[in-house]
Amino acid sequence: MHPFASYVLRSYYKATGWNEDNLYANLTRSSSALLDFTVPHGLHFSVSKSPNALFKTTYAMTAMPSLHGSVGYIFTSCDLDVKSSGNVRFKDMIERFKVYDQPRRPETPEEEWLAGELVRKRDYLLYGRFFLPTGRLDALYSTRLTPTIQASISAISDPPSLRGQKGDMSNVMINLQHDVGKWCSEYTWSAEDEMWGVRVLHNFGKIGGAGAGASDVADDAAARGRGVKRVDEEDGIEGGLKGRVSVGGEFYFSAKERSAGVSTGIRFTTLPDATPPSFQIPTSSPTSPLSSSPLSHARGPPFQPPTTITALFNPMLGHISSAYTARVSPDLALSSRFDFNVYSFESEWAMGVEWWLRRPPTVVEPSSALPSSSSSSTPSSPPSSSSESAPPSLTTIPSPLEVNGVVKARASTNNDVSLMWEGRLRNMLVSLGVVSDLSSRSKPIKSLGLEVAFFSSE
Amino acid sequence: MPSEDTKERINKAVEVGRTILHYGWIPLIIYIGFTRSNPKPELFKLISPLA
Repeated sequence: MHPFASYVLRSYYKATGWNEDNLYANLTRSSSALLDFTVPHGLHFSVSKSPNALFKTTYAMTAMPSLHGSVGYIFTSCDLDVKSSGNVRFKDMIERFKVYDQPRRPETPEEEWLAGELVRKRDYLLYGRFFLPTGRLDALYSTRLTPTIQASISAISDPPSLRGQKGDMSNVMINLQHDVGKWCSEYTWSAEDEMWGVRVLHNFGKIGGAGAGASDVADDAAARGRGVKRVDEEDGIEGGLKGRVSVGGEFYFSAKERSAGVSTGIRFTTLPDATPPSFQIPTSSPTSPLSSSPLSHARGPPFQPPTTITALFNPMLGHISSAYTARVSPDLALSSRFDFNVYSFESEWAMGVEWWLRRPPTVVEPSSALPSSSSSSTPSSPPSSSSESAPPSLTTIPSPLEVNGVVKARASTNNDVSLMWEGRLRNMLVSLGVVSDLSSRSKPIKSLGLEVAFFSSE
Repeated sequence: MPSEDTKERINKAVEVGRTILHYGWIPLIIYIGFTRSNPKPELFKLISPLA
């Protein structure tokens, strides 16, 4: 489950038109959602509120293994449409498998004219979180310098009494992102170890527009037939998956530690599915009452299952990581990842699954069907049979099957098995998880956790 | 090269600046939130989510 501050930050990026997915650091985000999800440890409670569209407040408390808490405040220069935990779209709060939209050039903020003069409004976000009883402060300032450049300064500050001691975690990190859609570069500097870093991501194929049409496919085939390959040609892979390819790299070095690192990565992802997600498909329409069966949700997998394939290679450490993730049915996504080190021959194989749970169907009858009629079905009767037997005017309308929970599980060859359920109970978001080590007979359960989050807006 | 004295002064100034930011950052956010919000909310509502 996303913490409230993270949800607000994403809402801010969305409101300002910044595409946070077009970053090399997020190249493996889809598979990580299934394989590296965070299982709560201990008991967490958080209460958040947005008193107005610009300001947000969040309190959090953790009990077991140790009791500590934090207070956080967020201010944004633009209005954010932050929902409350009772009516927020559940999938927006969950790190999940998703085929991201085609990259596009960031939107230019709206121009504002005041008394005939152009007023340049630079959007920014301020965030601060104070931890008790340690006295640590987390701070973030993020701003859009130009339509394509975003800068952020983040800091961790330990209280003055701890400075210079061994446990001092204080650090400042400056980050500059430049996104033009096809390219995205990111420059970072970290004060603690004086580390400089550069990350670059390049997207092949078209950006911003709709996916390739049939004519493009024919053109591609013709070009291939001639042995000519366009530079920006969208590659297909065996099995007929059609998608786009992104490649990226990262280089960082630390003058203080006299060390450096490099990594490269490639990702293939299918084009975003043209069919809307199942929760958006209207389950009934006046023109086709017979197709309004709730079983329409259980339609078979789409023609092209949303798929993401990634490979990362770190030549200095000799580490290769390849992952395959696909949504095989509307409610089920599977992922598999193989890590291998070419120097030490160490390897790990991990598998993950994400299964969305839907609210049991509740049948709502239209008001016209209310007159007492033996043919109109009772809410408990199967809706599919009633829709066939009843005349169209009396057809029951099943409400959309809303997602209200997700079960995630992962298992890997290092004997760790994790299981997590996340869902909505009344107006709260609840997350319950367990990590177990099957090879240990004395302590098979490594950690157990429960997280409860409540937030509201006025 | 700056002298040892100057270095010490710079270090001290950085330390003081860090301390001010450490304790002043959250009051600064609340102050900006209070002054820039329109209509102005009650201060207590800004500070506590339970209000």
